[in-house]
Amino acid sequence: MGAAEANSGELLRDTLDMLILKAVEHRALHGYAIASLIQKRSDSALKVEEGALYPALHRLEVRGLLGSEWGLSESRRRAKYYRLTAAGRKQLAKETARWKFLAAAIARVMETA
Amino acid sequence: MREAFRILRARMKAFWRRRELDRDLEEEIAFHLSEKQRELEEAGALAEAAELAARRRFGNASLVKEQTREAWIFRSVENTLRDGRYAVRVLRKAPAFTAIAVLTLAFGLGANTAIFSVVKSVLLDRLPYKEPGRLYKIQEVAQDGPKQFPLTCVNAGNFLLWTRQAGPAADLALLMPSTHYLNLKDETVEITGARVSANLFQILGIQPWIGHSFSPDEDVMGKAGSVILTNALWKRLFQSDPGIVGQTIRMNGSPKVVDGVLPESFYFPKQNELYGSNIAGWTHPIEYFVNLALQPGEMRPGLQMLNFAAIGRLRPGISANLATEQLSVAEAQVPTEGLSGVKMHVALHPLKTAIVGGAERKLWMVMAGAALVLLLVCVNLAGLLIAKGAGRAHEIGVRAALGAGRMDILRQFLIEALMLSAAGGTLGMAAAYWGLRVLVRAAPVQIPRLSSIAIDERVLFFSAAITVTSAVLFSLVPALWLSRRSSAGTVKASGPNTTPNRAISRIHHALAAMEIAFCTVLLVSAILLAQSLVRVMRANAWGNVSHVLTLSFFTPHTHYQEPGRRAQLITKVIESARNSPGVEAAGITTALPFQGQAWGNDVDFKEDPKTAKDRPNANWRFVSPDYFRAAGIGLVSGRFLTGFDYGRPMVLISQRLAKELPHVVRPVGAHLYWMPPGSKTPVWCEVIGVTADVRAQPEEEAPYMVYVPYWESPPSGISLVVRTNGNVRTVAADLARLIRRTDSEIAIPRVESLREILDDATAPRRFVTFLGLLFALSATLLAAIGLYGLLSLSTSQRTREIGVRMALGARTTEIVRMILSEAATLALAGLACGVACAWAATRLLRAFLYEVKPTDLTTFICVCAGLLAVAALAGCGPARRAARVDPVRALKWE
Repeated sequence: MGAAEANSGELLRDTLDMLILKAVEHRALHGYAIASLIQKRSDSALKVEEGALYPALHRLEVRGLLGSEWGLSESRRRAKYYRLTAAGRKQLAKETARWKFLAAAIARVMETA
Repeated sequence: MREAFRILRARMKAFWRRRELDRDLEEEIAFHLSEKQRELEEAGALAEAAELAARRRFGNASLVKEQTREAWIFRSVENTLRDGRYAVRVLRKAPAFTAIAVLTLAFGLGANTAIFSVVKSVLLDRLPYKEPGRLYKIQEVAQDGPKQFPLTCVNAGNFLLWTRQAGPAADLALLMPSTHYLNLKDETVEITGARVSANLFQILGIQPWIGHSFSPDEDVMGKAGSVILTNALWKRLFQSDPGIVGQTIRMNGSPKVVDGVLPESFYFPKQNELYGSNIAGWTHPIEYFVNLALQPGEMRPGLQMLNFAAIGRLRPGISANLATEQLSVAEAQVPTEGLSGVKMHVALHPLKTAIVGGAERKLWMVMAGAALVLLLVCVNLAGLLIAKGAGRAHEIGVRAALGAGRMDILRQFLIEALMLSAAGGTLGMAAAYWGLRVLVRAAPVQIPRLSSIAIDERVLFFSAAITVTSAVLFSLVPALWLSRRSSAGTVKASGPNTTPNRAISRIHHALAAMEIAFCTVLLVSAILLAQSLVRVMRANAWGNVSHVLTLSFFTPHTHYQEPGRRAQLITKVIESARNSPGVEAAGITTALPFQGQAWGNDVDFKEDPKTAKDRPNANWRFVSPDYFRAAGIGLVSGRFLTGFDYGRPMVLISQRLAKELPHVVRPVGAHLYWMPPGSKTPVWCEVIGVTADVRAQPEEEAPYMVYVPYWESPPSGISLVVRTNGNVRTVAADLARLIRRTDSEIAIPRVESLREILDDATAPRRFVTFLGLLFALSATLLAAIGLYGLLSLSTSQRTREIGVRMALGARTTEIVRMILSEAATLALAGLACGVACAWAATRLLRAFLYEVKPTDLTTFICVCAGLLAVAALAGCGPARRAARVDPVRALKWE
């Protein structure tokens, strides 16, 4: 397995983590709603794979960046809601800053070319 | 870092709620699917199609679940659990092996745990005092040229010189073990304790549990009016009555106020430990403390009245060297009358070393023996695992073929080993807990700090550590070998005829030989110790000591101050004892054999005058005429005392002392100088007889002895010695009653047979020897098991070869010889190595051997012969099996 491949995977995972954290920034959401929200906000440009979503959610929960509790969904069914913890909020701020810096840098490179 | 901790905590929590988490995940994904389905339905799809589409979109749900779950679990823990379950199945399939492994490990680990807890409590634990590292025992040392004579005891006058000098360096306490009679309402009880200076408890940093410590004005020159009791004494004799504090009790007939009772956890060294001697008769616990109250006679500095012990606490910032220097300045002023050229100084020994120093080497030696046994257990198991592994090559091959990596197989083996070891360790711990009680009860009183021995968390940690170490030790070699083999194509080859791997077979042989070698070292050591014990016992086996009874008591202080009354009492006691049924002879002495030297004093012969420095120093005993007959001490020349000698100044001396006289002087008829106590005029006593030598300690040469008739100076501490017709117990009870009837104020006498006294005095040696033999015999058993396992394996591996040989006309005897010669070769190799090791190792034993050389040839030859016999025995079974091999079947097996 090449190092480049591993790195790109890492990047994707980090990006998904960041998107998830952003999605629950203001209110607690269940997994399905998080996927829908990301899709809607990106005008369907970003599709979240379910196969990647749940491992990511649980990873974030284990890392203490997300908290979770069981609640009732709009369809009156029991659903697991994720919310941002204090540590998660800090992480999100860090990620956002990093993302903005990176995006601007990439944009500058791409425009000059 | 913080996050890593959060993850660990989350995973730990998850570990216990795995079921719940799985259910939650299930539900979460089901919810996701149903939401998706609803969305599709709202978009106009049919219910069934929507469900299918939702599932398709989701992908492989169980894979997602698996990946999600991974966030929560410790990979290694899950694998370990799986391996553990597998290991249980494997071990259950081989019950004989499992039983041997667990039992031998339990023995090895249990023995080490038990002995370590003794070592820890006695040697490693700090003394339970405030800042115990600053406490020192102070000793006087006489230096005569390059020669030093450390005195075990201290003179109180010299101590007073120190206190004047050493004020800023150290706080010093003086004490002296003592025996008192506690007069209770209806009986008098003998108790042992100490006279101590009032600052002792302050120096130790100990407060009484109830009441208060001695006040400073009760110090050295005080009035001796107070007593502090230990918790044990208070419970035993005062029924734990807290009201006793402040009350007055009577000790030796005079009143004492109880100042306080010490806490239950209070520890204080025993009498002999304070003096740094190992005399069995002095091992009484200190159970009370009274004021020191020095008598004027005790305060004279010099080299007499060495009856005290001194403990000092160094002030902060003062080193032991500095304190030694300061105290030595004072000690140099001690007058050394008569001993010209002797220089006095002091030596400081850390208090703990002073207390436990005597037991240190013995305990480490026992610990080393136990460790060797555990090592042997491990080597033995390694061998058995290899034997077992030969049959598992197939299984390992299959596992490797199915994709198990080398690490997986190594881990599997290690887990099997750990499970065996843990089972053995748990069993061993239970055995140690039980065995420790037996050990403490059986242990000689001479071992210090026995009462504080317990299994605590440090012992548990040690036990866990050796359990894991053993597992690694015995599984490593077989596991490395088997996991390496796994890569080869062993799947095809199977059955008992698998060709033995040359390398591993060589390792297996080496392990078996190693067992024999360890076994040799242990056996040689144990037998040398056993021989020493036999020799010690033989050296002290004069007379029939088990028929001799001793009853020790003191005359009450109240109305026996006058020597004449004491003499009357002694005469009366001897008279009535002799007339008791079952008594053949009765006499008294002031110090019993085997209970250490006492009453040392110079002997000055009229016929052979010498300067004070050159005179022999003898033990003086005050005896009655029949003492020699009662104790069984023989006469070498001259005659014994008789009742008709009463009142005449005459003595007997021991053979060794008689030999000190020049040849021209006949000992019988010679005279020696004797100054009766309280008298100003010396007496020349005529020597009327020479007696056989009697030892004061079982392993030391008999001291010079002078026996003075009791009427010359009637003692107050008396041991009645009677020779019985064998019915010791009845006679003992009769005599105890008889003595109490003579005077009701005499405390219940201490009754022991001479045999018991000898047994107590030799207890440390018997204890170490017993453990040594136990270890050596178990080692032999282990080596036999190991050898048997190896020979069984090699016989079964050579079944085909044996078949061929038989088919070609080999006779059974030749086959048997073939197997036995393998056993013999192994045993000889092991012995060669073991003898070399033992030759080196037994040198370390030298200090514990008595009249046996560490390289005693007979012992080595016996051990070699014995182990060869064991090897032959271990080879018998496999050899018989080999002889019964049916050539046809053996060849068909292929």
